[in-house]
Amino acid sequence: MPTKQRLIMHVDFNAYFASVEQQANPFLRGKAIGVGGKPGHRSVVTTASYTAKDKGVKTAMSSWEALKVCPDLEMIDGDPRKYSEMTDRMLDIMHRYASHVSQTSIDEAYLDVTHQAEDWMGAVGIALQIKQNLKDEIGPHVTVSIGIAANAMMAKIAGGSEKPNGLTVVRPSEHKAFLNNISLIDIPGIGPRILRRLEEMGITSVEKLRATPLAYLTKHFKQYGPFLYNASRGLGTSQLDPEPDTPKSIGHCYTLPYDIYSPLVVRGTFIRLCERVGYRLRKHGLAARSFAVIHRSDTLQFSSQHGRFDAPTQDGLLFYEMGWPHITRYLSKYRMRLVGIRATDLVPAHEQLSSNKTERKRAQLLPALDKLRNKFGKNTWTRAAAMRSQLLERSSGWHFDHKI
Amino acid sequence: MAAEWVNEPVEVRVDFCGKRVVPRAMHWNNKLYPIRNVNLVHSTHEGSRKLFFFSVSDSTNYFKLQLDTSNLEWKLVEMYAD
Repeated sequence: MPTKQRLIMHVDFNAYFASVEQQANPFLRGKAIGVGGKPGHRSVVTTASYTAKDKGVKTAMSSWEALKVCPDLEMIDGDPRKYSEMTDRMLDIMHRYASHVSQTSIDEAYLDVTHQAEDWMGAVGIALQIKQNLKDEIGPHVTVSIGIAANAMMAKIAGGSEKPNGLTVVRPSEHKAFLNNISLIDIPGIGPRILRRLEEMGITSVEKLRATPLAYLTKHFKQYGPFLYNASRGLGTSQLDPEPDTPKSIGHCYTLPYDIYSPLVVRGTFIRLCERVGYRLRKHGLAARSFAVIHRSDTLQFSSQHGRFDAPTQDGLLFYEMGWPHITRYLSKYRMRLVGIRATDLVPAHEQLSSNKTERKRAQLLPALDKLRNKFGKNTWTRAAAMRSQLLERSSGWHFDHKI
Repeated sequence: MAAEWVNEPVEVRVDFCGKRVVPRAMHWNNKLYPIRNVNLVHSTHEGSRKLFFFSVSDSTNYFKLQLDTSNLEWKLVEMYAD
């Protein structure tokens, strides 16, 4: 008996943060708005409204650049807790209709509706119900684009083909014709670098990519070759990712309010980031064997320094002690714009009482501090050296700060 | 104009509709503002306290109101006038 064809749905919020703000505040509707940091402060546009996009504002543009291309742009201070609750509401709606929901970002998820929908019409019905539920439970100004196909990649391309508030179905028999009408860059997995290499090879359209032999693609793109070969034919996986795996690394970065060369000013921020990484490691029951200190200079150059602990750790203070010399060295050469720390080479944490009295005390103290934090919030305690610095909540990234 | 941070206590008249609280009017600075629309409601925790935020508007103003469920106090968090 043949395997039943899968029905995969891709749901993507349209201009997510901006549309939530427009839902909350009716006087922002129809205006060019960008959600980012506080007006007048250095920030980037995390989401622009469609009106702003029409005027040339792009996601990740710095606020001054965005205001240059669109002088009437209103920058809105992002409210991550509000967006977080809307994401939760949306996921709750999706779980009503799908056996499996795989969230891939704060405003995007895949649903496997094979069993609930039974056929393509059933899937369309579910998509319309999701849109109606969203309207009833969040509001009419927050919309989603939905794509339905037999695999995740085609569902995503279908969803992205009509914005805002689209609903696009692409059946397997329509894959090639549909792909012929899109650009190579619209295929998830083809970024600017791959695109440039393809174009240098004379492959400028999906049709040309499809006509390129697999051996040729594999020769030039190694293991990426088969992906390109399959993508041009609309072939992709219909198995959604299972529940999120154990993280491979845990890190935090923070863009400083201005470019800094003084170690005294950076120190508090760095300590807070290290403590946050330590807290998350303990929450996941993991310990790190290695770390990376991340920095970005005022010339926008990213760089990182790596190091290794003597024994796996989940103590934020150790991250600070090991990472701080890298920061001071960096600050002697550059002004710092962004600082971060990443725990890598993660292993399950094992309780092992140290023979060192100070270390033993510290190991007992940290779980107690975590309990306090869980009950009274993340600002319950802080190290004295970090008291003068404050990490503002971000509206960008995969996770909301208050949830980690 | 940009949103203006206020963060002041206010008096709010509400209706109770089942388990829901619906703000109907706000008294602030010796003036009564009737609430025409409740555009969005969300909640968050600050430690063990649960806070509800109501994004409401009348014909010319947008207000973000906060209800602290631990003491039932209302605050006008921010406002925006067209």
